[in-house]
Amino acid sequence: MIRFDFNYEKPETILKAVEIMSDCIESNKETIYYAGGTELLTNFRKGKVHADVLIDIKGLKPLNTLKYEKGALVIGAAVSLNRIIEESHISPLNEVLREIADHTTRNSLTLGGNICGRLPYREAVLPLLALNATAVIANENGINEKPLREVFDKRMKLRHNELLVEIIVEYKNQKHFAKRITEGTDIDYPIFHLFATREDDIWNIALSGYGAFPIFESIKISSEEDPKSIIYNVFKEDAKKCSRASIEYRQHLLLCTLEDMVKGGELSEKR
Amino acid sequence: MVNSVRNDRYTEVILNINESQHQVLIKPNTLLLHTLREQVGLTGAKGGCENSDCGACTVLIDGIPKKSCMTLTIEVGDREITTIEGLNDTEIQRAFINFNGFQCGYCTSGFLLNAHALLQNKPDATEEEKKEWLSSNLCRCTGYEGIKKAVDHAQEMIQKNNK
Repeated sequence: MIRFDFNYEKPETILKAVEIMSDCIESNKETIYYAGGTELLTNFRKGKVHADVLIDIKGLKPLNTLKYEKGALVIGAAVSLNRIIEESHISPLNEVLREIADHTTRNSLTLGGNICGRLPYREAVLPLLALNATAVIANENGINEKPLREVFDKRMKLRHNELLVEIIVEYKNQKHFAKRITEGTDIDYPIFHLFATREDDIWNIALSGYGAFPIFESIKISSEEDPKSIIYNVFKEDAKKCSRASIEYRQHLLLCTLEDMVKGGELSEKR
Repeated sequence: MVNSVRNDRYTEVILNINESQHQVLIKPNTLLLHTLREQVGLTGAKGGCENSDCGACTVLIDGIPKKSCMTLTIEVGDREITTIEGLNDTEIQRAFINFNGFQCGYCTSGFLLNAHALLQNKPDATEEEKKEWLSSNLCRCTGYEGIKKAVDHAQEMIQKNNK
């Protein structure tokens, strides 16, 4: 059970949602946007997170969008991961989403919740960064689009009242490589998750579970250079130590995965 | 539908459960699992881990499996909720009986609802799809073999009935 009380608001427009949030911030009320709730309710129950007000954003129409527009997939922030998997056709994105949590939980887990949540994994962001997706964000001044790579650095850099509305992904059948490793069972947080795309000399590498937060780098590597050692050196020091895996083990996983990626994977073709 | 509720107030919500309406008084922080069991008296959904891991609390909301331990009652007032009490002599229930799909029974209602939704939505589900959906539920008796046989048999019967 949740041992503290909170107010519940369910606005019908994005503007109203932002207004309520802004008013609550001004009144020093701890206020959280609420979508799927899987992470929040767990943390409420454990006493790790507290809220005075929840703003339920599931009723906001644009946040429930899932459609193709001008060749790009537009995904509302409140769309569940399973709905994205079943209704969209971006296989690299679906491959990653399918490994997050379990099937029933993915009926509640939303794209926005996974990217903006408190858990350090945020795995849904990996293909979105590698594919250079766009974030659509609402605040008191209106709704704006920004490259996701500009607003995500370890976590989404949103002001407290800002609301992620949509993610726009343009997929041009780019080749990709992905590898996810857990400690024991498949349904678990990763101790290592790499997602990569390559566009000529640019390697886009995103990692989760390896460091303390998701990491992304876009690295230019000429055909004469060894991508494995260059990429390894970029990320080597980011490996974290925890009860689930040591720094050395994570670095070892990185090296082995890069070996697979460069030698035998989809991205290994010389350009 | 409820748009705004103060934290210290109980609010009346009409829940549509198993095609009947139930009036409940809740605060915003009340989880659906507790409302179902303690106010409505439907104890089929079980509190297992209460951490969204085990699936014993699974119910269907608009036909989609959801974990009621991770759902606020206040957000489902305008949805159709199905609990195990709402399943009546379905293929999956018969199969669980005939193929030893349960031992202690604690996980059973969660498995039944999830499997029922799977076979309703995807009667031709592949082995991979069945495994993907049903991995959402844990059985501490490790009665997975009986569960699998039951699900496979129920699927055969549903496919047969659909022809």
